[in-house]
Amino acid sequence: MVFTDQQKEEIYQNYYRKVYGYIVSKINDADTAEDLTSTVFVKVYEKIDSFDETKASLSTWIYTIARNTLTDYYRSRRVFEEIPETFPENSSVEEEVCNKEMLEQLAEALQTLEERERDIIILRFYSGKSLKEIAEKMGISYSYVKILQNKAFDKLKKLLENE
Amino acid sequence: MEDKLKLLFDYQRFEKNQSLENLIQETENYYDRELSDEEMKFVAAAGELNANGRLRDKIINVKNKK
Repeated sequence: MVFTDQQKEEIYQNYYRKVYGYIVSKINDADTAEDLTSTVFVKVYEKIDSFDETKASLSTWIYTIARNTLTDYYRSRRVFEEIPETFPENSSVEEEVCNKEMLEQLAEALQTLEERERDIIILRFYSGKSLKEIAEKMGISYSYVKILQNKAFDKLKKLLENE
Repeated sequence: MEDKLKLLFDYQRFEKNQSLENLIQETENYYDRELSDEEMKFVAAAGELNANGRLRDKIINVKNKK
């Protein structure tokens, strides 16, 4: 797919805030986030002609480049900081999973869970809390958190895989 | 399922879905806030409630009765 200069400019205008917002939410350092966002757009422009809209949406494709750029950043700083547990470092399923419809399905599926089950999933997979931290926040035992988490997994598996 | 959830919640940080964002905010706001003195007393007085019911609902009930 060939993009004109104007289309490339539109991609920058439409996605800069998304890319920067994503990166700064992960590393919490505005200057580094700006540098990495620039790196992402350099890669986007280098590879844009190989983008295949039959394989992924533009949003998913740019997200994947942003995530890979963050992976490289984490690896380069491995000595100084750990890769967050919630970071999907090696995923090969993003093209089928990462789209707006799947986020809507996840929201709908989470709403069918009991509140505590939903809270555990969000605190663990979005907020990055450990099961031990979640147990302390909820005032229940670690074992009980695991039981609730597994119940939530079973329900989500049925709901998300039946879609 | 864990990899799928990691990826979906990560993608949410990039491509925000408002319904999902509302659920996330509700959970994060609830668990990140400081409990008031009254709520702390309530928690201390009802040690078993977390095992069987939602502290969130019970605190809201107490506030509504005030």
